[in-house]
Amino acid sequence: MNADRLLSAISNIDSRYIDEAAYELGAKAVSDKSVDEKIVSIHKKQRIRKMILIALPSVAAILLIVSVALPALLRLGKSNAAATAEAPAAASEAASEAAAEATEEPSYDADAEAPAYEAEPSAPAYEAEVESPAVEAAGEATESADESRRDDKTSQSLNADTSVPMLSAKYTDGILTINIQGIEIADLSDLRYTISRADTPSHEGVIAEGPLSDLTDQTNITGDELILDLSDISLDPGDHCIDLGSFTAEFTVPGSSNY
Amino acid sequence: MQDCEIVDLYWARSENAISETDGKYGRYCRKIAMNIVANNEDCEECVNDTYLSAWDSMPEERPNLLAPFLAAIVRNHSLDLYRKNHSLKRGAGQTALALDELTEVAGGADTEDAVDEILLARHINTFLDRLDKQSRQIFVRRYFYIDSLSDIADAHSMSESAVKSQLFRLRQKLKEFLEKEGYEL
Repeated sequence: MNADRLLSAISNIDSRYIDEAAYELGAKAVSDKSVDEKIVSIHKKQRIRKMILIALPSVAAILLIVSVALPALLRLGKSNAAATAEAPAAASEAASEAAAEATEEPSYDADAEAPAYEAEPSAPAYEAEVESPAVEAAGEATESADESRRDDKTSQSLNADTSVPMLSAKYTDGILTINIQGIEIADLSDLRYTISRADTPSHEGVIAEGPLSDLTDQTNITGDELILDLSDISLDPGDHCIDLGSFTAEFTVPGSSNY
Repeated sequence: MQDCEIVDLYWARSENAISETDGKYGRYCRKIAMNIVANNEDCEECVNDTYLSAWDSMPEERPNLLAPFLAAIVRNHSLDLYRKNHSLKRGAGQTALALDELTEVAGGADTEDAVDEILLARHINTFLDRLDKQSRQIFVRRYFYIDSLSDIADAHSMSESAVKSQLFRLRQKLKEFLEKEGYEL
């Protein structure tokens, strides 16, 4: 026997063995167990890859929505919350400022506010300027507190910008005697006088004006009269006014010419 | 079409038997022939001779499995053609290599003793029956189908050197077996 005979004899082997080995010639075996396992694992990997490819866009879309939409929603929520919180915050701020301004008035309350305001209707504007640059929300509270303080002061003070009282005066031989009973004059040296005719506005018919010290040597008030020397001032007969800043006195110069 | 239906066509002497055979097993037969002769013209010749032999063998023959029946026929025709040509340039060296390998088993000299190839085939069947499935497939793919070592390695997810080693061990086992059976090798 030689190799050729052996090779020929192999042609007659059992058909089962020929068929068993007859997987696709030249290609991957499909009946071999190890190859089957390999193919199964390849299919498994392909399935996993397919699932990843399908899931990846979905995950990307979700991440995109979360990263874009969520901050926008949060911002929207914050702006709404901020808007609703502004009014109470402003109110609380105003209240705190009003409380700080009202420290001199520990008994300040809303009930007391109305009477004080009604007593001094024109005061709020002046008092607000003097006190502090209060915010609009605390304006009324500040004015009320100032009005309360004002009530403690004398309304007829020479330094307060209040209404000017008309005093009586008598002119005799160049001497003007003004009745100042009930009037508090702090310092005469600071006062100025303006004499005008009674029938004309003071700013139009000014006859004489100057420091009060030109008309008197007094610096303080003693008694109920203020005596001024008007002999150097030429006054025609008739009614005149002398304005001394916070008060005015009217007097009449007798009919005959005296100078 | 099932194998039994194709065989019925042969038995019925239908002209469709050959076309059906070629449609189902044409690629299979060409692969076996090409492994041996490694030539397109010789390959087509062997396949055509196979169909003719199949037509001639039936209706006497009624194979249950048509694939191995055709494989044996095409192999024989291919080997005959290879021997006829007796050229190492053809066959891409695989047939020559297979013959060289089997020389380790059978010896190089052609003895005058007639060798009953059918009996020898039965002994080889006994030998193959004792092998595990993978070893048997490797042996059959190498020495029946004349497949290349690389193709066998790819099919079984092995390296070529592993396949080569496996075939060497199988040849040694076959030699021992045939000597036990009384063959002078």
